[in-house]
Amino acid sequence: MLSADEILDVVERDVRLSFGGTFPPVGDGFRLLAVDGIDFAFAVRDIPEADVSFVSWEYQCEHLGAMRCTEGTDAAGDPRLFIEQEPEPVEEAHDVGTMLPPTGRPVTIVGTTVVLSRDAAEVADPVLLRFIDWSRVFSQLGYAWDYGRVIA
Amino acid sequence: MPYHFEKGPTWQVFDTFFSGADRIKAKLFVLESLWTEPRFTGFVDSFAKLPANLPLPTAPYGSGIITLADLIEHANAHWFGLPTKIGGNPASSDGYDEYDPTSSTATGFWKNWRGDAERVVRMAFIRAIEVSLGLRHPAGAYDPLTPPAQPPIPPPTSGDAITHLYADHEDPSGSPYAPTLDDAASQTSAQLATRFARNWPIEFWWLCGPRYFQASVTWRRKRLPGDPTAQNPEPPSGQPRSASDDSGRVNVVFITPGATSHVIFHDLEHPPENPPVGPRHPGGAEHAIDPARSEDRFGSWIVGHRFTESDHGGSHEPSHAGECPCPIQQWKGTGRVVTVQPRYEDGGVLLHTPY
Repeated sequence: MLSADEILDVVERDVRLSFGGTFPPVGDGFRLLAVDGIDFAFAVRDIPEADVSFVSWEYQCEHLGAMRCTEGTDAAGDPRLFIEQEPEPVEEAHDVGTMLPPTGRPVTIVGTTVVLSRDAAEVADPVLLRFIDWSRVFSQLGYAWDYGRVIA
Repeated sequence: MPYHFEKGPTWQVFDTFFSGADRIKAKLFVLESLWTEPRFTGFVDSFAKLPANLPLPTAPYGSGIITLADLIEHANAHWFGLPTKIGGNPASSDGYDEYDPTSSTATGFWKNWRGDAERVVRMAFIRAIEVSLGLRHPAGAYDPLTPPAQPPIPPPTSGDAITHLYADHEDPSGSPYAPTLDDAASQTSAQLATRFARNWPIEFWWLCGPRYFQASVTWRRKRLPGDPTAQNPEPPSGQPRSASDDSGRVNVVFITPGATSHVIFHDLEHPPENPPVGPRHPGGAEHAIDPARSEDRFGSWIVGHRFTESDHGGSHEPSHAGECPCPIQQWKGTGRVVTVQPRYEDGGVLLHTPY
């Protein structure tokens, strides 16, 4: 079982590792999400003994690196593409593997991370599930998800 | 509209307007209306001035649009976002609210797009008609919907807008032209054709599904003597200009977002689902997979993977710290490459026309 501080630490560390290379923080960058007086970290603080915790956060940053994907294996052992932590500088906008060449725009990424620490292995290396508002991220970058035609 | 690209009954109406035997009259009345009427569809009212020998388009079959009035209402409500038809003659432009640029809702029936679709369509028509007649676009012309920042050419205080806007038109060959609407109704198409450098047919297509609302206007003229790449020059110029001038062609393609009410097949081999609304039009293309013949005068095929599917992946798959899965949203084509000939009512073409 992780303590509240450990949960908060792993979530913040994950955000900084995952996005810091592509989206360096503006100032401190990371903070727990609080909207209109509602503290979304309540689950962490109110249920510290839970082996499943939820942390909502936001990360203020700038899009200065290329967003690229790299192959890896997820917690279930399945092959998956992950965001590169330290992407190489982009030589050309359409370098192979580049999802998004840097736009230089300020971005706020908002997400909720589910932290699993159900056994000793997960306590040692927690499993994370991230629910991120990618639509909002891409909108800030000037891109858009494809809300095209319905396919029958 | 089960495919992304179509002509179909709706655009066949405009083809008929601008490619038929009396197309020069239709062009002139529509062009005049586009410069002077507050609504794009105001050109319908000008048809009352036309002589009876101008063939109005036949009612477009299929797609739920049966009459010209249906087409006007469809254009105003669905394409331009003028949702309220308060009353009046359904074939008139009266009674529709204007597009509100401050609204955050999507315009008309377009998915996730808002903007002044009517103004885009209006300018595409103006440009296409000008190209087809060899007219140069008047710089600084007034805009009947939104005045530009620069002082515009004022609207005419008397007479018609065509005479006013194109009076200083100068044909490259030096031949004098006098573009005017003044007495167009009393002139034959052959007489009117002598006032313009050319009178090419215009045809229309619709590409539905991109994120933006735009129009492309393209044209092709036959080679003339003196053209830099003319290897097989056409007969010398100076031939009498003709009402049925076919020395070139203008193509207009409207490129629009997806429409709320439309669903497309993910399987190009999907058979047509719904029977056409109204009577079948004789001469309309029939649905065919991998068609062989191309002997008909007009044709329209779509070539692509048989299947088109969405491939989505979020960041919620379980992983460890610092391993954030990439968000993925893309389309993928799978299966063999197939060629489909859409049925006329599904966006295909008339295989032959009188013009």
